[in-house]
Amino acid sequence: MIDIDDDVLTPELVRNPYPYFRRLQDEAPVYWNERYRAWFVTRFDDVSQAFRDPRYSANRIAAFAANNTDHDDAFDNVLHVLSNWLVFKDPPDHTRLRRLLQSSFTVKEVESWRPRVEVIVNELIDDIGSDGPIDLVRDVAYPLPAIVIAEMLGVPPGDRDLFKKWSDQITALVFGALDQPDRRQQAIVGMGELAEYLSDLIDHHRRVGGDDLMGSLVNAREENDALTDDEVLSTCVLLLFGGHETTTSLIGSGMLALLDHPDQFERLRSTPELIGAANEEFLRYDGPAKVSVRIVAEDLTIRGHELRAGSRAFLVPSAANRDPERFANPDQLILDREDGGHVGFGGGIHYCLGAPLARLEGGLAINSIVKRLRNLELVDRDALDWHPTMLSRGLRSLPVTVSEIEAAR
Amino acid sequence: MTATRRLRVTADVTICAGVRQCVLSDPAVFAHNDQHLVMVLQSEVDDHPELADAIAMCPTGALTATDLDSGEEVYP
Repeated sequence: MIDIDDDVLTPELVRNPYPYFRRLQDEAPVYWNERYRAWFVTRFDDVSQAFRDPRYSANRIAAFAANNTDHDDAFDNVLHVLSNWLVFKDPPDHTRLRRLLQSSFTVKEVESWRPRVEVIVNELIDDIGSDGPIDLVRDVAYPLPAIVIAEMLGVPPGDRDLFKKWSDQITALVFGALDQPDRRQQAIVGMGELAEYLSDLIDHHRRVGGDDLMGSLVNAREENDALTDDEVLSTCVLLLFGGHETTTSLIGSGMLALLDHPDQFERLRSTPELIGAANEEFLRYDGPAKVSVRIVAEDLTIRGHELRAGSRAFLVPSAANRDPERFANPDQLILDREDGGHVGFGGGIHYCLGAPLARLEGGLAINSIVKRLRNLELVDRDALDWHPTMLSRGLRSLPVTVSEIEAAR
Repeated sequence: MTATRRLRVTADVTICAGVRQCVLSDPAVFAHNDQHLVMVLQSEVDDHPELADAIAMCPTGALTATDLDSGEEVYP
C-alpha cells in the first residue's frame, strides 16, 4: 500500500492531475482506490491493452442502475437513453450499432465537411468583439462543435442555443460534475426536452427524408438491419454530447499548451502543415479523456493484482499518455515527436467514433486562431478554471488578449 | 469493373488501435492477433469491394492498398 490521498478531485488535482498520476505509475501502477471503489490503471501498456481486451466491459449503465435503486420514472428515462449509447455496449449489440454509424464517420465522409467547418471557424473569429475581453473557449472552442454537429444532424440554425443548453445539462451527469449537486435533476429536464425535440426531427426525416447525418441514421441499413427510432434518438444525443465538450476541451487545452510553449507556438505559426502531428500531440499532452470506466467481465490478473468480475477499472489515458516508459520527455509538448501515438481516443472497439471530426475541427480551429490572432497572450495563468470532473479534462474558459485580429484569407 | 487490379495490402501495427472494423469488413484479408491488433492474412490480392470498405472504415489510417504494378496508392 502506498500513502496517497484517494481524492483525485481536490482543487489542486483538478488544476494539474499529472504529478499524482506519475506517482501512481511509479509506486502503484494498478491501484485500488477505496474512495471511488475502482482500480486505477495508469501505465501506457496496461491501458492500451485493456482498451482492446474484451474482458473489460464497457457496460456500466447496468451496474449503475443496479446500484441506484431509488429512481423514479423520469430518471429511468434518462438511463434508458444512455443504455442505447454504443459507448456503453458490448458485442454483439455494439458491433451492429458501430457498423451502422461508422460509415457516416469515415475519414473521407468527415473530410467532405472541411470547407464548411473552415467557414464556421472563420465566422466565429470574425465575431470576436474588438472591445470586450476575449475568451477562446466561449468565443470559438465551445460554439464550434455544437454548430457543426447540429448542422450535421440537420438542426435549423435558430434552434442551436437550445441544443447547447441540453448538452450542458446532460454533460454534468455523465462526466460527474462535482460542483453541481442538482445534476441529476438537470439531466432529467435536459434529456426530456432534447428527446422530445429529436423525436420530432426524426419523424420529419422519416416522412420527407434528408441527406444529412440524421437522414443517414434513419436510413442506415446493414444486412437488412436498421436503427429503431429509439436507437436513432439515443445516438443523436450521444453524437451531440460526445462531440461537444470533448472537442471544446481539445481546442482549449491545445491552445493553452501552445501558449505555455512559445517555441512550439511559433513553429506551428510558421509551419501550419504541422497541424496533423500537433493535434495528436495535444491529445497526448493534455487530452480531454482523463479516465475511461470499465467493468471487469471475468476475473483477471494484472501486475499481480487479481481483479474480480464485477469490479470497476478506471483506465487513465491522461496518465498513460505521459508514461515515461513510453514517451521521452513526457511532460513536454513536442509537436512532431518521433515517439508519437497515444490513447487519447481510447482503443479497441470503442475507439472514438468521432476521431476524424475532432481532428478536423481541432486542426482548423487551432490553426486559424494561431494565424489570425496576433500577439496572443494569457490574461492570468494562475486563474485558469478547469471542469472539476472525474472522466474528462477541459478548461471552462481561456481568457486572452491580442493586439490585432487579422482578416481571414 | 474492368480487369481486376492486383493490390498490395499493408497495415501499420504501430498506428492500429484494434478497432476491428477491418476484420468485420473483410475477414479474408484482415484478422486480429493475440494482442487484438491487425494482421494481414493476404498481402497480395485482387481488388475487391470488401477491401475498399475495410480500409475506408478504419478510423486510425493504419491500412493502405497500393497497385502492385504501378506502386500507386489505391485505398484509402
